[in-house]
Amino acid sequence: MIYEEYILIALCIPVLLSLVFIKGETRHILAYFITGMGLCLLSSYLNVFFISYLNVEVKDAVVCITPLIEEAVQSIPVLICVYVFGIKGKNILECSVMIGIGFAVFENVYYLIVNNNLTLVFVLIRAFSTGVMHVLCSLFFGYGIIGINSKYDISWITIPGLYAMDSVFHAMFNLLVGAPGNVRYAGYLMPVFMAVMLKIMGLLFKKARENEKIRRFGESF
Amino acid sequence: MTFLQNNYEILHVIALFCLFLFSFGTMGKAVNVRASVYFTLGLFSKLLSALLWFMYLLVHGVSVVYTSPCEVSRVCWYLFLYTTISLLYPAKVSLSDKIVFSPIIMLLLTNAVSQSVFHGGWIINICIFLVTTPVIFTCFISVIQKDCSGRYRFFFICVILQCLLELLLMWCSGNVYTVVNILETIFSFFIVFSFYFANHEWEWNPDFFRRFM
Repeated sequence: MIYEEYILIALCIPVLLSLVFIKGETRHILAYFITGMGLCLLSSYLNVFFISYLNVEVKDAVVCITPLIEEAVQSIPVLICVYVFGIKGKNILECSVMIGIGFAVFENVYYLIVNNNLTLVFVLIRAFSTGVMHVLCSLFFGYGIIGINSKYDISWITIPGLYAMDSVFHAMFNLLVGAPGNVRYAGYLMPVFMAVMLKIMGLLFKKARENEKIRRFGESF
Repeated sequence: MTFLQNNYEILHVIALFCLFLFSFGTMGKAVNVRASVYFTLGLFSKLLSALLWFMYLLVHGVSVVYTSPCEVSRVCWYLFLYTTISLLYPAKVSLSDKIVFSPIIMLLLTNAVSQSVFHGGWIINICIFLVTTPVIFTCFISVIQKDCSGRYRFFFICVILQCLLELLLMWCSGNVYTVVNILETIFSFFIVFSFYFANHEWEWNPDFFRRFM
């Protein structure tokens, strides 16, 4: 049997050593990435503890416990970086997304090692579903925190809101993926669909801003 | 009741989605824009909670009384509602106010007893208590003292009723739960429309959606 800790050591040591030689932005990005992988291990400990302590069935645990713990574990370091170390602007997004990527990578690696009879199709489905889901949750959180510190002046009360949004999204994904029958395919498609929707919304808002600028420019004459 | 329950959940999601869209669309023309932003975020939180609830019913065929992420979302709805009210309320009652905290302790004790008799989920229940009680009392005080602007009074009364239903919801189980839930949805409508009648110089803002065309 391969322990999770061994995988973490094998993946992290080369990256940790490289941190000595790499400077600047890249160093930060790698540090966030390793943190994400470490957090995945921590969340698995917490999941196991709470599932056994609360004596919950697996089908309920993936909806009620796992999302809350995993999202909390991922969001706390981002909040520490923002409110203790004072990172700002796009660095918040980098931090949040890289932690999410590290988390997703470690989860996928462990899953592949433990389940050694997987097909290529299933591996691809897993990569596009779970991987994208973790990154999307981090993106939501990162953008939300940037919003708190931006001109829109939304206060700390939004932090629990962002956490709730991430947890519910994660819980929906877990619920659908664990469902019997064809419903699980909806779950696999959900993160990619959401990512596409977000991109379209981003483009629409960009277009709206440009239209507004043109309108104002026209009014000034 | 199963028929009512199954159809209620989907109607609840659709209703909240419509309310959210309405809220989002009118946000820009509010008297107090910040309050409107918080209110819309709160509605989104409530929508997510209802959506997960509905999905659980869809997948497992049973409605659960407690799904932690749903409850966290509902706590957030009340947090956002409290912030909205704080922005509308002139004398802003703080959380540390004695008027707010003494009833909370009383209610927490009642809750601890009731939870040992009924069902689990007490951590989330305490959170809901901690959040809904200040909301009730802020609104209650403002209505009693006639301290709030007259236009917000009906909104505040609706919020009190919604919170009381929420508290009732926590003690209910089985079929009664659905009935109280339906009442809560009806009050959500009252809350949204009373808020928008109070906080808007009433005009629909078609430009908001037209900008995206």
